[in-house]
Amino acid sequence: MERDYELALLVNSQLPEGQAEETAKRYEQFLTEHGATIGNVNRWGVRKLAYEIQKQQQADYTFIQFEAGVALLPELERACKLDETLIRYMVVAIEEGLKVPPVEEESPEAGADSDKDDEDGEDEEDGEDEEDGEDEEDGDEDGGDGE
Amino acid sequence: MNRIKVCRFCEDKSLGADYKDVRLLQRFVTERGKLLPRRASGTCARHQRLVTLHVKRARQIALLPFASDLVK
Repeated sequence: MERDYELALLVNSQLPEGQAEETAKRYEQFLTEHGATIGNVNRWGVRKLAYEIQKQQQADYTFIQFEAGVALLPELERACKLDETLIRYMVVAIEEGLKVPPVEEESPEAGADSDKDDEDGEDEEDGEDEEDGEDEEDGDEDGGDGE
Repeated sequence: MNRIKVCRFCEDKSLGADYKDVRLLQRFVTERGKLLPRRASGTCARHQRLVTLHVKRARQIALLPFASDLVK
């Protein structure tokens, strides 16, 4: 059964110029060779990470949407796992009926933290005055599902 | 101040959550990166689930923090 997926690639930004682009191309090729149809490809470029991964503070983001059968996924997973240029990858199914807005790449320096300040300002209009970051307990979940 | 809030996603049907939309998702987490409870964000049950899913995905690829201490 064919389904829509999206592959997120985080390429090590320490690699020589153009490597990230090349890696992205490589995956597009890999996918086509294995019978997938490539949809949108979204290159964000280097962006600050919300937390360190493999001692890296930033990474080069690429998102590739594609349509493929389930049989492809294990192969893709294996390829990604063995790929040392990748800091991290993620494959998600694009849910049916859920439109995925083509998300704009935001200004690269707008990392997780720097956004915070203006964010607070905007929220005022919503009357979001509860600031209960501390006192609600949540059963610490790790979102580790590989699909 | 404490008017009853309508769920953002219900209000605007065209608004879909996506794990890549950091700006949007940031409204649904605390400054430390924890998910806001529904009572704070006003989202309905269905859309809270949606938000949760996408926040968790965003965390996996380091678009959002799992936890960030020391907020400036």
